[in-house]
Amino acid sequence: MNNIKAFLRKHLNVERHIICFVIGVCFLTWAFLFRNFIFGKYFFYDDAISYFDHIKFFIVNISKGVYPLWDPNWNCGVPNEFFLRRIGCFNPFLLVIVVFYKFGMSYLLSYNFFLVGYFFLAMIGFFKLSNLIFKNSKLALVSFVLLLFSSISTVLYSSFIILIITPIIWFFYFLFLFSEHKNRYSVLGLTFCLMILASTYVPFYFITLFFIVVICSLLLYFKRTINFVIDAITFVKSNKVVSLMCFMCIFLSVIPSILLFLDARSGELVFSVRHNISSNSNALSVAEQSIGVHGVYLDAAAGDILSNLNKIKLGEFFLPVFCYMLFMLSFVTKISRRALLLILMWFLTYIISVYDASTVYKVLYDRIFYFRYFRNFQFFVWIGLIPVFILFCVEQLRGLLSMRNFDKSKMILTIAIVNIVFVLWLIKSTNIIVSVFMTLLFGSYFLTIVKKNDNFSNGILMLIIFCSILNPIETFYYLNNNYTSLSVLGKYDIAENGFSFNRDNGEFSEVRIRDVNSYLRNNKLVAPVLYYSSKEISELVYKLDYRNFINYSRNRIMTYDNVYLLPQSGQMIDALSKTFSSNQNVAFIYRPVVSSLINGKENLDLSINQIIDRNQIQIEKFDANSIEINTSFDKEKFLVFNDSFNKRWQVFVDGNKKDVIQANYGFMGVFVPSGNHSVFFRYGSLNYYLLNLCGHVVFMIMFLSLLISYIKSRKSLSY
Amino acid sequence: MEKQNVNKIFKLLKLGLSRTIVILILFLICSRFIVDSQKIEVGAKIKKQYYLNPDAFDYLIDYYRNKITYDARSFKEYIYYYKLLNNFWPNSPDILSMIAYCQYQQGESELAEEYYLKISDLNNKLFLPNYNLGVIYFYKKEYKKAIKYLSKAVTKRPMDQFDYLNSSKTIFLPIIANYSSQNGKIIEDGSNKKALFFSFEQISKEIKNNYKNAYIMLVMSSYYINDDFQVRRYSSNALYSKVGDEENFKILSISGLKGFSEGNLLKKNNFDLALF
Repeated sequence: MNNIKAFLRKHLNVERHIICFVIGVCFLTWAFLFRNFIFGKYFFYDDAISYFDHIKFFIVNISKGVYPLWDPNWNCGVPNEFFLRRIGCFNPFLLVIVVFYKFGMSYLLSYNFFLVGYFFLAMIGFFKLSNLIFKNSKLALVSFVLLLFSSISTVLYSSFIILIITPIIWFFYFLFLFSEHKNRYSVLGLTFCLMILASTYVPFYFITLFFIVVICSLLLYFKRTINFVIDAITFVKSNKVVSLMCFMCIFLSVIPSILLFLDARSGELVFSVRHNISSNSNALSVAEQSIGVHGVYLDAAAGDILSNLNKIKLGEFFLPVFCYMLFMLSFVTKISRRALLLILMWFLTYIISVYDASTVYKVLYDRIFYFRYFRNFQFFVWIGLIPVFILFCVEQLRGLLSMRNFDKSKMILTIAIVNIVFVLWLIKSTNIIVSVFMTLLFGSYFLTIVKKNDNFSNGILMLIIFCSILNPIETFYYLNNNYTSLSVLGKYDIAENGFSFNRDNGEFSEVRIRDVNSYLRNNKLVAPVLYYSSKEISELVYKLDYRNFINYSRNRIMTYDNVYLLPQSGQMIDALSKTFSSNQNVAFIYRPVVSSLINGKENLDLSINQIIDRNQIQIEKFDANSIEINTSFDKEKFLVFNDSFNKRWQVFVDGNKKDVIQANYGFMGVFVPSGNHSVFFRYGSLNYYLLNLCGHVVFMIMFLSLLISYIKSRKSLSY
Repeated sequence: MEKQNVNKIFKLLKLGLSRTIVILILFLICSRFIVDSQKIEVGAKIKKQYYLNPDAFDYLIDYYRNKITYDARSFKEYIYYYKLLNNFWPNSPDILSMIAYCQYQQGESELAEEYYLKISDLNNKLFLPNYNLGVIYFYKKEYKKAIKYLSKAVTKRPMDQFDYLNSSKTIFLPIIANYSSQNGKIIEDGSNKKALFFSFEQISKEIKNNYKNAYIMLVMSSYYINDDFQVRRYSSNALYSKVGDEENFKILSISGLKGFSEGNLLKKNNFDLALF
């Protein structure tokens, strides 16, 4: 019998299969608990909505063969670069949505499946990382379960942060792997993760965490860190071609972010909410942040972490109670260097994430440039604090398992005292759910028997898994129930084809001036602060009666017989407030242009109402980046395309390039002669498209190289 | 025997000190020095709005709306609260402006003046500090100073003030939320966020009203210092800016100009000339 067991163990790798089976079961349990979200019964909340929207816009256009560099949906149109950086558009995993979508699945379902898959990828990455750290697959499994059933999974539906967490976790996995196996697979993995992170507009979380890891490693593993650097240099020297290729790929992936940064500096774009009171001229910069507005409040909330779990909502802090039980093992475990490293990492991340409650933030804001473009430190809870805390707790379990020469009765007594104190504290706390006490009961039992096995058996492993998920199951049940009490703000459902040509189809569900329309719907009388728009549109929305503004901008094409030159912006806004309200046949421009339509102020005749003869204009074709119009005017007219003016727009009349004239303060115009003509507006140059295309190709090549490299090196790696 | 006991204690101590919890406690002590936990606590409470929950602003709002009479003790409490916050966030214009407002209501206009001057230095984009300084000087009959700050105030973009209020999640938003709810205009589901957005309709009206008042005081101050040119200038500017009822400003202008016997300017055509 023993021989058969040994044979099976050797040839079938039973342990590996058990681990895979447990991972699968845990994931299915998680999926069952989140079924309402996964299958679209519950919609997203908060930031997750806009990311859903941006990715949808991107995917729908890509599916139609259009690379969307312009987003006409946002506030009379904005460069899409900012949103492409937000979603990390080069990430090959996004193409999974295209595949689902092309196979006829609804976009919502396709997106949800991608989201769940990407999250699961992060969890697998965490399992592999833990396995490298602890060199024990069962302990890695415990880490995996604790993270999977922490509230990190709830931010999936309330935040964008999973798009950053996954590559960060995998980066650290490849970094650890590289420290052990200096092979191409780990280098390609590192490069690929860095490329994904560098191509987003917030790589700052990663950079901060990376530096924290470097500092802690230098402090506690100085020799090993130096050796690691020397080995890395040796690897670069001996693999010059691969290294050069990796550096070039990383450099290429940073270019779009740099271009966005430079664009934001030009003053053409406005990020009113983000930039608001920042003194820096770059529109992407943020003012010094304060703990009164955001940040991590764990210090204040520490006493209530297990209270009111029956009222939990998406994105609120939660860790399985078993995690705290493992944490309390620190009363009996011996100090290890690894535990010290994890505590130090946690501590450094924490003191940064509390903003001005520690002096560190002020120093970083003043001295390190990227902190002036970096806010929302509360996300460090999910990106840094929770994963590191879980690793620390599992390290305590490892410490318990590896203890030698201990007095078992004393240890049990210590654990019992700590747990009793914990229970008393819980009784004193308000509104504790049943599963917390049940977990304490089963968990205590586990702690008394665990020492019987040096490397705990599969039975004990199952008991740990049970203890880990018992409390989350009840908590996530309440999370589902509490969803209905959330007020979902502004679900903006872009039409399935990406956008329609007309801004007004009688409803607000189509393309629109987003921020403004949400205000109109709520019958607000005050002009809103636009989150992201061109500078001119932001000013127009504020300065004009915006109902007139909305009525005007609903027409994407206008033609005029009279054009007036008003070089001062104040004059133009004053004039527009009159002409927009009564739809008059007058357009205004800043710069002098030679045309018979331009009149002096003396001849200002505002009595003629604007009438657009639909027979004179025909929309030949349009997509996110361009529009082609056939005109047949009986005399020369000034054609205004009511998307916001941007220097990257070009216009061609019968194939001949013309200057795009800034018209009606913030829009685009061109003079069109009488007769039949074709007017073609296009956003972006060919180089700009090529750069993006090149980015996608490079990312895809890197991803495929990584896959091939993985298959080749699979045999030499465990897990 | 004694030596054995000492050894035993030493062994126990060594055992205790080698536990991970010791390191955790050390870091906890360390964090007390580096991290201002009181600041976090206040931040968390303010964020949850239960430190001074919306009800706590009732008095301030009712007083502002002339619903209740002056109560020195209530104002003292507010001053204490905002000064406490000022210790955590020094040089924050929104906190300073609340202190200044309460000081002014306490009759300590010199102190209020000091705070508003400081706020004006910290953020010279804002309308309200300049406007409030103008009000203080106007009622102190220091008209030249009043003109100085009121004329500054009317050149500020209302949107900057509006944005600033919107960004002041710690100070102004709880008050605005309550102000909105007191007006019984919280829409359907009573969600807090919607209430906050909705109330900006009223805040905008308040700001607009203050612009009108600023112009009125500018015209009046100019009149009191016998500056006919300024009276015409600010009346015209007020009409041009469309901040209030056109007729009111015309009457205001007329009353200001009366003293200078320039009746020919009062005809409508001349007003239009003055405008364009």
